[in-house]
Amino acid sequence: MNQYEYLKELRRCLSILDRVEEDRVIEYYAELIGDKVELGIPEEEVLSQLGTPRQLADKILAETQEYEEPKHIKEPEKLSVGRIVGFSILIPFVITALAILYSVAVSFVAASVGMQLGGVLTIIGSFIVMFTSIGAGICQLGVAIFVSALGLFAAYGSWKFILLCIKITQKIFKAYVRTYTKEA
Amino acid sequence: MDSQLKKGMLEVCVLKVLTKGESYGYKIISDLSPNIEISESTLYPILKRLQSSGCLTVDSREHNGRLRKYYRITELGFERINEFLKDWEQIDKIYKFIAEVNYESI
Repeated sequence: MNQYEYLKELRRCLSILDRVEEDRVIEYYAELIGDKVELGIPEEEVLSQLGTPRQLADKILAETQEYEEPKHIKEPEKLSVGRIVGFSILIPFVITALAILYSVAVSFVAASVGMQLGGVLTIIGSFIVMFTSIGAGICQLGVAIFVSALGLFAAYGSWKFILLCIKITQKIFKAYVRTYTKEA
Repeated sequence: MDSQLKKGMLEVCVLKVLTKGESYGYKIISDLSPNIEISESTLYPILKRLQSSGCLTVDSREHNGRLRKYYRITELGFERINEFLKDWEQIDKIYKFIAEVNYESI
């Protein structure tokens, strides 16, 4: 396996640690592996020197406990059962919340499309009105341009909002995957 | 050797290496290596303990597109080394006392 797979596996073996500590440990080993590889030691050899991810994780966990830092080790009982039940109960609420979020996004999009379309048509219309009354035509043109601009802002806003919705969905999905697979 | 004792001494060794200038994980191990045996998994908790006791500071910087943590000794770190050296004088006395041949047991 390469160093990324190795570190991924190591991370999995260290799941009993809290996320902050887990990240710190992985950063430390990623740096060490990187340094050795940079010096020309073949990646395979570097990894075999460390032992299997499981062996290394055991060493790391033993050291963590020796230094009496139980605060970094999550309490297994409380966390796994509670978390799985909690997350499962939340599913219908999460789906509803996401549905609302997305429908707001869709209405933003609809509003912006409407404004831009309406704006463009009104711009065209304003030129026709100008034949009857220049003043009214210009007034209409002004309003139409304003509405179109507003529509563009709304389009930009809805684009950003949709990206945010997607990001939120991804985060929620990842959290669920983590909960169900880590505790498994 | 008693493992806690050894770890305590390794902490001072790491600090000593840092008196020569800031350093990073792999370099600390290789600077210590010829004389003092320390593995990657042993160094990590030592660095953590030294950081939480204020004996060193950590600074993340970019190196060849990846992040590297640079460790730098603090005033407290220097004091720690001096304490160790003072303690050693006491330890030396105790050692001499214990190593002395006990004529009564012959």
